[in-house]
Amino acid sequence: MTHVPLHHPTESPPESPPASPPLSRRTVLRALAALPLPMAASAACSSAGPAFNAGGGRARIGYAVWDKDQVPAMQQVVDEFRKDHPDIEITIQLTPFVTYWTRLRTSITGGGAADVFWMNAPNIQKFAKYGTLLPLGARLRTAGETLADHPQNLVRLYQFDGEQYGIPKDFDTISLYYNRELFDKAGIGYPDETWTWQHVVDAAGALRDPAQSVFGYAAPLDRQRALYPAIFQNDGWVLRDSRSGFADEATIGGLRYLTEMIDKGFSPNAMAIADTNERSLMQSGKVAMMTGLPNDANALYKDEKARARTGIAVLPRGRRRATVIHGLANVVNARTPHPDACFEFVRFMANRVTGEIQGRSGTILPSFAGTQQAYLDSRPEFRLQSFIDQVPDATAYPASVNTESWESMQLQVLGLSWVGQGSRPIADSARLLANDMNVVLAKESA
Amino acid sequence: MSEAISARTSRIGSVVTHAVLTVGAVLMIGPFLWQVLTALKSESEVTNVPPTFLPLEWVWDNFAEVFTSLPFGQQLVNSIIVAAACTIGQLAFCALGAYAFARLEFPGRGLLFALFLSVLMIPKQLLILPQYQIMSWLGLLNTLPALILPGVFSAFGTFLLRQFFMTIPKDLEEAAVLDGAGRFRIFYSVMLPLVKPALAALAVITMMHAWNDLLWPLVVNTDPATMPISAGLTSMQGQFRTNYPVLMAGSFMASIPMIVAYLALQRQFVQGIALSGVKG
Amino acid sequence: MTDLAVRPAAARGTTATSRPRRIDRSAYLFIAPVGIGLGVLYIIPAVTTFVLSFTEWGPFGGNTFNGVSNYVGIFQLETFWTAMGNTLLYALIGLLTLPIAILCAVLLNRKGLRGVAIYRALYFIPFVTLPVASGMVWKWLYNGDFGLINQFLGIFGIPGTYWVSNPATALVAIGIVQVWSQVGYYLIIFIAGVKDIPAEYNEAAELDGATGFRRFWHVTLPLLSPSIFFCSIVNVIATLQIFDLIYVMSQSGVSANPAFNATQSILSLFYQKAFAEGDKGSATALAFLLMLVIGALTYVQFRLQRRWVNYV
Repeated sequence: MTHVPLHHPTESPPESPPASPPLSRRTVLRALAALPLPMAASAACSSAGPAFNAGGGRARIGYAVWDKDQVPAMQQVVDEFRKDHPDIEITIQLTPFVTYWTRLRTSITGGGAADVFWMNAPNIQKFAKYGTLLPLGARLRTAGETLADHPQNLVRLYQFDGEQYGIPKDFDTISLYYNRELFDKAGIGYPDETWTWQHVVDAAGALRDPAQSVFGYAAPLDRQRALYPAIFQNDGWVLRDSRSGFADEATIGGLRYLTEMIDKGFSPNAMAIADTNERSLMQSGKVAMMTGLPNDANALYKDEKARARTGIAVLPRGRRRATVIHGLANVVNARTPHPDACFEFVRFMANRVTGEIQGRSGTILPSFAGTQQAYLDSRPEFRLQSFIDQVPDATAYPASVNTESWESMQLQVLGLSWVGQGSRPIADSARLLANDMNVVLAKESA
Repeated sequence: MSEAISARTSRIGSVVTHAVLTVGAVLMIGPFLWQVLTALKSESEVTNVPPTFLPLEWVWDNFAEVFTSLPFGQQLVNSIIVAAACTIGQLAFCALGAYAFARLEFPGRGLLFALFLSVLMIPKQLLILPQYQIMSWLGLLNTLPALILPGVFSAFGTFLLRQFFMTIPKDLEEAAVLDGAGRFRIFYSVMLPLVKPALAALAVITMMHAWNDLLWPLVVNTDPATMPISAGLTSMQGQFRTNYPVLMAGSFMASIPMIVAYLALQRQFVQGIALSGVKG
Repeated sequence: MTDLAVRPAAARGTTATSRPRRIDRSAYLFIAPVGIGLGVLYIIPAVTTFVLSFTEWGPFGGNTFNGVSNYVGIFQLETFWTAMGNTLLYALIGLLTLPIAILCAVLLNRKGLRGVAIYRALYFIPFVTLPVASGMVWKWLYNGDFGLINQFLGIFGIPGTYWVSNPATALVAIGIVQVWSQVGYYLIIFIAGVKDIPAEYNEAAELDGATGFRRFWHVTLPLLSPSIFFCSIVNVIATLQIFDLIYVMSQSGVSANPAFNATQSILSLFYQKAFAEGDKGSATALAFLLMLVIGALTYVQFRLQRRWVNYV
């Protein structure tokens, strides 16, 4: 049978909960892991020998990631790390995002999960709450690692109940992508940091060309790319003290920036975007402006025609200048047999070298301050600096324990306000959403 | 009614019949034609309004892109292995069980058979979560056996083959008994060849179901390297969202094997359908 | 081919007139492989599902008994009733397959018609096509801005829509693809059914001067009713379990489809609950309810058959 074992060949973890583990090699290792850390750390530094594995063999670590584009850079990071730690073997396990979480959850339950894996904001609190992640606080303190070089709201995203569980590796904010050709044709100056939402609306109206089926702007029903930045720009909020912010007038006003674009016919509605998303429309020149992640530049850059005509600017100002910041973190599986080796690895990935490798690859914006230049240089035609410029104005991606359940509500409830003329008023949808969301949030804190 | 008029109405009738059937055939096959044409266009060309019929520029790279973005070849191989294993396993196990139910006398036969029939009533989706749990306990998640195992055992296949074994005259079997042949010999060399057409038909239905199944693979095998092509295609959709040319190239290549199998084994397919008709 | 003409007779066998047979315990060995497999992978899971539908599943394993609250929760869930209604609608649309297949079967059965084999082969291809692939092709055909269907309608000045993203049309659009993919299957059954009609019936009808439509209505249709009955059961049961097309056309790879809820079936809701939201308790309860619905419908159809099925 041509079964490809992507998992590293450790035996499957015990079925019993960590509270009363059978006396096994695993228990012994766990006990060892609890030894005073300086000892372990010094042992690690002093010898390249079997410091991480009481059994005397090498430590084999599985590292789960979901972005194919980033695999080469991650492999380079691994190679770099292994120069100092030849006794730690690391296998990268790639699972596409669509199935990443299902696979991770089930492998944590059933065994065979990776030892170190990527984590995002919507999932961190659930994973931490159920004790599936290794707490990193004490180890970080012992190692003198302060994470001061990473955006602080990002570092805080990966805390739960006062404990640090994840170390940021990269970050993203949202910027405005625009099609220079269409702007030139309409004789409108390019967007820049002086633009407000009113400028965007005016430009979108002028750029709209029904005959060519060209839209001025794209306002997708996409929380990170569109909803959250707009909400924050209007001083609105999404989540505070286990309450939903969607009933707040400021939040509704922010959403209205978007729905008005659709109602006026300047932006394709949610049905059109579900059929052909705004990034494809941007690439084929059917949309003059859209908001997007740093990674959205990848496809546009690859397409030569799109590369030549695409510009990037900071988001327009609403009541204030704002965007949403999110980033991935590396976390350690609580049940790994090699907690020390794993910690060494994630700690290494919190540092400058990793930041620089990621930056040079041009696939992701590293979160380590000062390592982003290589990223900017990787695509000189695009003004990627916009993403970095907005960090001081950025609000962290909102999340709770059951983020996914209220996030999926957002799209279903707000969707009815996203179909243009005749759709449900956004204020009604937002209030409905706030109610539903509060029910979930109340259950969560109970 | 004169011969001439009758001939004319029949000619008109035949033209109308052909017209209706041709329109139907176009509706049935047209989507595939458009699929291929789209697969050969560039991503920007497919957003041309009005659309171009033939590609302006033949972009064969879309097909290559499918292979670089997915372990597509591996997934095709997975699907072939899974379909073959399910088919062989199901034929073997079902035939054995069916023979016993049809021809052997043993205590508890009625009860056991009733149990088998009751399985026929259970929609397989009902079982997904516990079956998934079992695969997880066996450590089979993200392996091909996880895809194969549930497909190997079939109450329907057993029931179907039992019906066929029952139609075979007893004399043939009794002659073999007199010759001193063992049970398994009789089953294997006397009975099995007699139900060959039924086996072939069951094989074809089983193969098709194994190839097309989506929900179960989506659940048990989340690792692209162990996915069958059905689940692989949906993950490609997640990846390319709305890059239709690449999606069309992938979906076209994924449907080819079964269509070829059908064209090669038309008779068995048709018999398989007719047989599942017997099921009711 | 000829072997298959021997119709299996369920009534034969145990009550056959042959002398009493010897008990043969090797039978257990014959049955063991499939029996154990079905027991472990089908019968035990069916019982487990039922039991687990009364528990809450932790996101990382572990079940705690929570009484009927999964069921209560589902009944209170608006999306459940939507999904239930949608599923019945899919089943209803799916039944359109039958008249289409019957029509084609009758046309294909015309005396002296050429190319029957080719037509039959072509009509059957959608049925053997990977449903995921069919879903993708149709999603592209249905595309609101660049899809072939809207371009075609545009020629006649008919405004199209975003067929699979518009809540008003998405369910029907997916239902049509389901019909498209299934016609070939039923066509084959009906071709056999029409062929099986004894020639005397048609000759008698001809003597009575019944031609064309009248003959179809009074002779073909009644004599076809056993096939129709069988097909309608198979069809309803199959469409009640519709998942692949919905998953491909309106759920996967689409960030926010306004028609998401409008196309949700029981099974796609099951998948969403179990694997997207991680609420496996509700999912098992849903699966169990689906089984009840399928069972009930099968029963109803069996009851109804007495009224309108003529067995030849």
